[in-house]
Amino acid sequence: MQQSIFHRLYDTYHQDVFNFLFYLVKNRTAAEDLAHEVYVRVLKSYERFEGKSSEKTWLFSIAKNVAIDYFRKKQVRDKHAFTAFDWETEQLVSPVPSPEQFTELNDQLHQLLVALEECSGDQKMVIIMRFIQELSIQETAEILGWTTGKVKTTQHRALKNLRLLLEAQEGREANPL
Amino acid sequence: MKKEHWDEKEIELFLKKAPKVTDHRSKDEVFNRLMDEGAFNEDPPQLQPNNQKGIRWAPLFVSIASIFIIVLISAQFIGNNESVSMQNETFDLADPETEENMTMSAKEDASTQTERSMINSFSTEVQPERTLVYENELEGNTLFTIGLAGDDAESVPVSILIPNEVVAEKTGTENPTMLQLYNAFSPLLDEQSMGFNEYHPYKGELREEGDKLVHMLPEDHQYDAGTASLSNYLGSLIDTFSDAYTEVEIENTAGTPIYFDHIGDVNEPFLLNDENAQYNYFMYQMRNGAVYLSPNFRMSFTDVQEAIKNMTVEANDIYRTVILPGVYLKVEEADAIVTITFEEPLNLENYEPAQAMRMIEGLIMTAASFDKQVKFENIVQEQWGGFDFSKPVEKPVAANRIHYEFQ
Repeated sequence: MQQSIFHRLYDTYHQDVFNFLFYLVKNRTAAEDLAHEVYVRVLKSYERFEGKSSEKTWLFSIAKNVAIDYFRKKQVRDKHAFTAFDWETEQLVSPVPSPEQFTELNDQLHQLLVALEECSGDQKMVIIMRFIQELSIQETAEILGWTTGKVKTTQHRALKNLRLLLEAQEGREANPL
Repeated sequence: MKKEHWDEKEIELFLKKAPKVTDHRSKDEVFNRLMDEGAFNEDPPQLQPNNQKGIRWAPLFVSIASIFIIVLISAQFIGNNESVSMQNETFDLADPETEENMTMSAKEDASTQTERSMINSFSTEVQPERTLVYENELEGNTLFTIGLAGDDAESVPVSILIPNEVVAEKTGTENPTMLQLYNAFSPLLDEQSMGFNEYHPYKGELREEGDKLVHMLPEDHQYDAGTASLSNYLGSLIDTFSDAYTEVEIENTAGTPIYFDHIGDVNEPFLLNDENAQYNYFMYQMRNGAVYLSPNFRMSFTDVQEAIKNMTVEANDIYRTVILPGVYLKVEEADAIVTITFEEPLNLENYEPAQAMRMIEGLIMTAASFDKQVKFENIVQEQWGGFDFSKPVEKPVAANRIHYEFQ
């Protein structure tokens, strides 16, 4: 039973989930580990899946939680922080991949990903879901457990923030100190 | 070549052109890793509550009671009460173990006399079980709060009311501090019998310094064995001691700041009552079926309205929303009162009592985390489950009451 669940979910969603995790953590090995953790949690809780949301948004919500846990643990390790981790306001910082890791990146996308690291966690999550993963506003809302209005607002703020960050990048490069 | 001018539409387009990154591993590799780690448990733990080993509470009685409850609830749901002939035997669900509160209960010695009287005192009215603790229940009792180690490496806050005479007997004083209470009762708590992992008492030594608690840890404490261990440890400190102390200073046996693996020296005390301990509450179900109200991975909020709005959605696969399906609400805040207005008239009798109670209590507990009371609006019943919804409901002092008799 559980093996057949794995096969079906893998065949239908694995590469999408992996892509999502990779853009969140920007590290192939970490994305592999997180994908593994997603399956562990899915298999553990599949019997609790009530079909209130689609299987796709349910799976992505688990992937999102697994990724947030990764950043939460990373914060404890990196910052010696004992405070609670609020992913929406914290930055979900991951190193932008080096050219060896991600040869397909062009300069513009590289600039964008650097800027994305400076956005708040909620903005980064929404940008990846809406534009890189091309999930609908409704799907994004279900995965994040938000209203569609909150997704739209966060998306709007994220795009504006990205534009300002990119312009600031240009300013820094034009006027290096 | 780098781009010099950006507009938001272009940003969208660039992002949409981002290359898809694929997993280079084969399906077999992914499968085998899961297999090697035992992820395919073809005989998963049942969600129904088991009869927690080690507790002498008359399994036969519980089984019979559960069957009656299921029949009663089923009858209510299918609107076919008349077809269920209970004759003179009904079961008063207000006090004895319902299917759910049985999981919240660890009475060690329910006497057969009590069982007999319970079975003989049936009533058809299904009363939801309250799980929060209120000030008036402290009359003659002492509140003992403790964070227990759940299935998912997170602390679960529970509370036990201990009769004052038992407290005096075990601690040697009628007014023990929270630490004295902890030192006396945590070793007596059989965590595994309730489905939790063995965790208390803490390793090392705890001492009080005014409002501060100091935890001196031995070298082999293992609380930093992984980030999950650390998360559980810190959560349990909040759940156990936040009512009485403002912070915990963690030190080693030399009296200097503790060094945690992956973290380094911990120079700042761990705060127990700041904004990072303001939570909203979700449903957490243990593998043995027991259900508790719990913070959602310790996510905290500065604003009670945001905290409650965040409850209106499914949280994740571990912590699930307590808000009933199809129920929508608005939140307003004025001084110490949070007004929660249900958009449609809410008839609590239309829902399974335990689920309805969980929603009401989850909302109340969330507001209480911000030191606020709740006034509910648009509930059909003015009186329900012991609540009077015509006025602000009392602020609870603790969540997840479990019944435990210390021997």
